Amino acid sequence: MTKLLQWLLGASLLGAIWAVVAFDPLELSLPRTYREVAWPMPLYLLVSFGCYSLATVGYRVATFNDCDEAARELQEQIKEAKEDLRRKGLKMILLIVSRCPYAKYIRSLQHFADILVIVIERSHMKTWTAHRRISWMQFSLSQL
Amino acid sequence: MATGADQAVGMSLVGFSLLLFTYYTVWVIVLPFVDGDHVLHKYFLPREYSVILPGIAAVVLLLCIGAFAAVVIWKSRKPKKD
Repeated sequence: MTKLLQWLLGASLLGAIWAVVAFDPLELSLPRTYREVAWPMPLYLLVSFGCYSLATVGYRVATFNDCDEAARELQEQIKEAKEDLRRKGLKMILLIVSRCPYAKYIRSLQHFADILVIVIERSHMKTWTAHRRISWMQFSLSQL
Repeated sequence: MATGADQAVGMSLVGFSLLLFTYYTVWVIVLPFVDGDHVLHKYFLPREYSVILPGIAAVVLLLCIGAFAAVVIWKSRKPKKD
């Protein structure tokens, strides 16, 4: 039996139990309070799931640990790289690095700095066409 | 640790969702077992609203999502080249 069939079976079983308790089609005459509690059950589960998701998102936002010192160090390295490249005349990398919005959250700065150095070294190869340079940059950024 | 504003926003989200959850739980599950003349009933709307209000909230949420998607798609259409 596939997973889909298992889930559908479970869902329809729960749905049947809910319908029997909430709408009383078999005239079992349960106490009225149980019917009143069971009737909004699907909506209640949905609302409680929404509350749980909201609480999880809020908690993760509050306890996110961004490293201020690492962010500053990264900004320094980006500035150095920009100066270096400005002298060498390759404007494309400036665009990509300065637009990276996640610079604040990158934890392994050494890795990032290594790739930056490799890209700067490669820019010495003036025989490369612009197309090859762009492909190399895309490749190295995808390794992050 | 996250900065001050982030912590404030996060914790307020947590508090709001906890409040909402306890209010809704008492409304849906606890109230039917409480006598009709207990003072607790004063703080809660009639039970029909416990179904209608989340329904309205869901419709409003879907409207907002649809409006946001429409605005984004409208902004990103390219002007025709003459």
